[in-house]
Amino acid sequence: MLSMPSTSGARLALSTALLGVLGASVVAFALRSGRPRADFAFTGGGEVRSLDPHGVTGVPEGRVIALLYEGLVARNPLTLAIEPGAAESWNVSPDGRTYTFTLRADARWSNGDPLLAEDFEWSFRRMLEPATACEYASSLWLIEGAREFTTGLAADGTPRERDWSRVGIVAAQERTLKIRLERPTPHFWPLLSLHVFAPVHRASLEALRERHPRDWATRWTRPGTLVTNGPFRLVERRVGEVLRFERNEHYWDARNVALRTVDVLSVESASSALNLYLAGELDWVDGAIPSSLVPELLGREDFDPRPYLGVYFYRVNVTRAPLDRREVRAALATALRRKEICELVLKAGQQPALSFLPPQVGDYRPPKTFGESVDYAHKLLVDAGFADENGKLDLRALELHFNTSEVHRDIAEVAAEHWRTALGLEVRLRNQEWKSFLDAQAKLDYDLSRSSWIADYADPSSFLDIWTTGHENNRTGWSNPQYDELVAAARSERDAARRRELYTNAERILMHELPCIPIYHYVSQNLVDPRVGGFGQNALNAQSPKYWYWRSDEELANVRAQSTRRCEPVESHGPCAGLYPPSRAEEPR
Amino acid sequence: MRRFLLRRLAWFALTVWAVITISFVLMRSVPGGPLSTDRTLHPTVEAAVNARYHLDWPAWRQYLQTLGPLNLDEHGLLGDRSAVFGGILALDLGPSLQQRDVSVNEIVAQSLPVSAALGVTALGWALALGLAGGLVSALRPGTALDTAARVLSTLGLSLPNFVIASLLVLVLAVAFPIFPVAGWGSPAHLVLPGFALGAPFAAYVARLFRAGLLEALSQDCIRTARAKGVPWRAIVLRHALPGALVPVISFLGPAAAGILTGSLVIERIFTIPGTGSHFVAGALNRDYALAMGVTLVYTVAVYALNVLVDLAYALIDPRVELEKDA
Amino acid sequence: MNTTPRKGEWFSDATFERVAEQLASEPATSLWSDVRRRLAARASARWSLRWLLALVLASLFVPLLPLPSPAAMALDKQPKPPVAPWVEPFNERFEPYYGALNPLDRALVGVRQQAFGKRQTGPWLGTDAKGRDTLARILWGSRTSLLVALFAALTSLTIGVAWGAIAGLARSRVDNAMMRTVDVLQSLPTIFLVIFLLSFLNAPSPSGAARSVSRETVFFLVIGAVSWLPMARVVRGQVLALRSAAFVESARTQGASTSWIVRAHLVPNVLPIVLVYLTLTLPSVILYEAFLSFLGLGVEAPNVSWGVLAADGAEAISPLATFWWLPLGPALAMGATLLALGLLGDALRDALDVKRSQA
Repeated sequence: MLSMPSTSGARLALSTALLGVLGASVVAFALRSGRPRADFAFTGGGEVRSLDPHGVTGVPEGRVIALLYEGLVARNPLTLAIEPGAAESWNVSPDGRTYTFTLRADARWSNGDPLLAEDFEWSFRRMLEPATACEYASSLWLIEGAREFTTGLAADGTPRERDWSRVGIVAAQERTLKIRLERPTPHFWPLLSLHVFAPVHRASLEALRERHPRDWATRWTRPGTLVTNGPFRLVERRVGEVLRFERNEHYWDARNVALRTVDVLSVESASSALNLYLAGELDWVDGAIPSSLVPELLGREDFDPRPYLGVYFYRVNVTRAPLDRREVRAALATALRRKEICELVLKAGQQPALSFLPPQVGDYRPPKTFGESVDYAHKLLVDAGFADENGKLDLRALELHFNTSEVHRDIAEVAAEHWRTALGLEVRLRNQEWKSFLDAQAKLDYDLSRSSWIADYADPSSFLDIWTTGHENNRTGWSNPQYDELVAAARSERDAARRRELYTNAERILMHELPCIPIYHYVSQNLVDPRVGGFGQNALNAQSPKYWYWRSDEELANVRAQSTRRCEPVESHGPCAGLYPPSRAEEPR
Repeated sequence: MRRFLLRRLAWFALTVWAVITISFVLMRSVPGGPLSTDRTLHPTVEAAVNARYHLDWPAWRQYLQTLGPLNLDEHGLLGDRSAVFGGILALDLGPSLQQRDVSVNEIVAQSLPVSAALGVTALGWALALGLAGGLVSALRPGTALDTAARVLSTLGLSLPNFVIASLLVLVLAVAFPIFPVAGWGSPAHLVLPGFALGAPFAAYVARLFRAGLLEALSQDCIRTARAKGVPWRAIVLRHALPGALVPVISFLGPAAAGILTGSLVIERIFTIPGTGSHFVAGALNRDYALAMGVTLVYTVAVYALNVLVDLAYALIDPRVELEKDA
Repeated sequence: MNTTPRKGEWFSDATFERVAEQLASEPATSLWSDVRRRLAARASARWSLRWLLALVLASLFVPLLPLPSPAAMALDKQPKPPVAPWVEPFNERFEPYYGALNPLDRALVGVRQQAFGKRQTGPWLGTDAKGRDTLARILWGSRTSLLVALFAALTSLTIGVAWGAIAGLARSRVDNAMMRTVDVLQSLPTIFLVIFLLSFLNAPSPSGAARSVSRETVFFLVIGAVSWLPMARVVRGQVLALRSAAFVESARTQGASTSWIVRAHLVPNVLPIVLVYLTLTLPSVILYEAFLSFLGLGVEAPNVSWGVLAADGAEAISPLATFWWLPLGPALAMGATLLALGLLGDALRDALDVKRSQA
């Protein structure tokens, strides 16, 4: 038949060339010429949800907020003690209800504007306004009038108009802020150091709102527009990829900030994060290490798991039979062999949890309540009429919910195995995707549901408040008036010993009733380059980026010589000469 | 030509509308809204959040707001008229529900070039490997080389692309640190992900090209040209190649769609900030706007590519009509 | 009669007409004996068939084999590398821990326990981080993967053939509407649809009782529901061509009913294409399942599928420690099976290809 006209060949060549050029230009556009690596790069997981301090609750977001903002007070990275932040001094009234803060004279925003008390007042107001949807608003309700302001309801439930003058936050003078609480609350200090209570620059936000009334929210946190008061400022944001920060020269303590640039990478996959760290692209990886690789890391210098204020537990739906019987819940709790879970599944030194609170929360020690004993579990069931002497069980199969994750699946499998062998009880595992999982939990549509609770601050109230009746994080249907009373009393008890006693009694009730079955207490799993100095290994794994620096070879050798840990040294990817804050350059070396 | 394009445009509009509607219905029917988090919100706060994203509106109103082109909230025609237009028909994909400070337009604008670059590279690998393999097979049919090429290419089809990716990372990034393990930014970052993504399609290309070449080379006119003493290379290039490329070109459409799908996994493994990774996060986090936006972008991309392929088809072979008979 | 189509005419109506005529003029059985002969002549087809048959048998009778349980965890410290069969052929550590088994499987496991007691194979392909034997997981996983593939392919077959046949036989307006729907649906990125549907159909039922629709069933339906489109198009084309073929016309003028024509002429002539397409969809469905497993939407533990194994294996590669046997075993199994299916499909297509009937 006819062969192709030869012009078609020419057309083909031309179109191929065009497409090739198009393709190459697309590729070239998408790639960027390498910008120099930042002084410090880390990741906390996937993309952060927001750079608005009033709009976030997660730990990775908290780290980024800590780079950008500074609140009234700060935490010392080693001791977790409260230190001056934007406020240089304060005093508390004798009745413990009024706190007066004096702001620094040299505190500034990143665009040079002075930081004034009215900025803080306006920021607190913004937090409490319901339209902002600040998830921590309820923790500010210990301030006088705050609850009424947010909910629009008076104490007796009648609607009342929102009036800021009734709220106990006042910018008394240009640099003086007064906060008045409903009742004296000892945990107000650690609460205030949370990253959420950071000031927001009113002028730029309001100007933006005027210019773009509809989409100001998506224009606000851009590199040129965002004004912050912390040690670093935002210079680049590529969603899903990287956030780049530079030292804020207007920061009052900029002379003591060593790092010039910091990158926060968004890495979804845990194994990719590990690979990037080992290749030197990241200097710190926080948690999410595949548990099969933990034994490889344990002997290394850069991996030092420490106790972390968090607990992993199974919520029990106490509104559903047979879990409405305390004996059944207690049997489930005592039949587990937690040591096996910690050693065989988790492997990073997590501790079995026989109490809800970790062994040391501030100066609080949880009471001993229940232990592990298969015989006792069996006895409980027999006494309650769910089993007979020979071990024949009269309980329906239970369903254990967890969200998609290797670790949750493994722990659930081991726990189910323990319950099967100890009690003969069948527990079916139900892996749910995250949103469906939360939905089921909120609707009390589960038997057992996996949960974690990480403390916001080092105080028992952070753990025990959530189990009060109707608390939004209760989600088990459990309610105990005696418990509620104890917790309420402890919140405003100023005597430390009495307070501890109240919390001890409250926890005793909680662990007797067991609407939650604690499994283990967390450890922090930080993989951090050994050369990094100023890295806070504390119980909250709270970091203050302004203290980070790079050690020189000399200092690193000293640190290694003085360290009591027996571990294998790891090659560091950091600068050999170290990177010190400008203030240290003036010291004689 | 004009009628062809017009008809395609009409079907495109219908397809886009179908995608928007089906996605809208599905996303609203799935349990777990975008706002459920580990810490439950107080009802007052939750109501405020719902109001901000218009989740408290009736479904039809939310649908019209998503669709556009008119904005139905307090800034539209019925309000202060500062933003009359909105919705997909006004090219506004809305704010992302999960990433509070970013609009979906911005996410797509930043990530689409990345995915496009990755896709182009993958397609390039697929074509390079496939055409080479197919050529070798066709010029030496029946030999061991032919069988080897065919088995290798079928192997590329037989493994999930993430297995290929992890084996590549093992050998070429971990054992011998030639390429970066993950990330994005330099041409070196493109090599492994592009190969892993494009390799399965190389197999199809090789088959199609081989079949097409064999077909073309068996024609009478080729034998005539050989008898007349035309060099082999000229024969292949000028006479056999254009015809043999036709099935390869028509495969580019499905190949592009497949590459888009495969990119979801590859982007996650290599932490590439492309659109695919955003989709998975969006669907799992019930970020309606982002999921819908990415779906639309992919639909448009695949559709546009199919139109281009048809046009290229016509360019290569003028005998092919653009309109198919019923 | 020379039925070799001329270049450019392979897909034209005239070709189909001639081909269909020739097929119809021969008795139906000779086509299949022809096919069988051609298939048997090819070594690759023979080996593929053997492998697939062995795999199907193994996965059917896997409860009987003296393998370790695929879900029994022995929480040792580390994954164990493969131990050669001659070094540790068997050991005595069998634990009968399985997920929910159907009655037949339970009976088979009972027989296995009586026959072999506590003996089980050693870790010939190694174990994973939880002490689960890789060989056992691959064989048990083959059940899930093959089942998913088969059911999904059958679903796509049913819907696709029905759709295409109806479109081909119906009036042109109905045909047009049906094919346009196929066009629109084909433009949708199906992966998104799949993720949506999986999340949606996996939702907890409001009453809290056990879900009526299991996750595997959802899988089959969803994957099948998105893969029928090309099949519908192909079947429609074939039916259209046959409909206007001369032999059908002549049958009609002789008074044959439509149903007889469908049974006697259309079905036998559509079947070969459908068969070939089936062997082509199976691999893509297995890969799809692997893909969804990687994203976390696959089958749940303690059930296992090749997709889950591949995903786990992909995560087991790291600069710190490489448990190479974890991705390698499933990759080999999946690769061999899909290769076999691909080669078989090729051979089948060539065998059914009337153009090369010189052989």
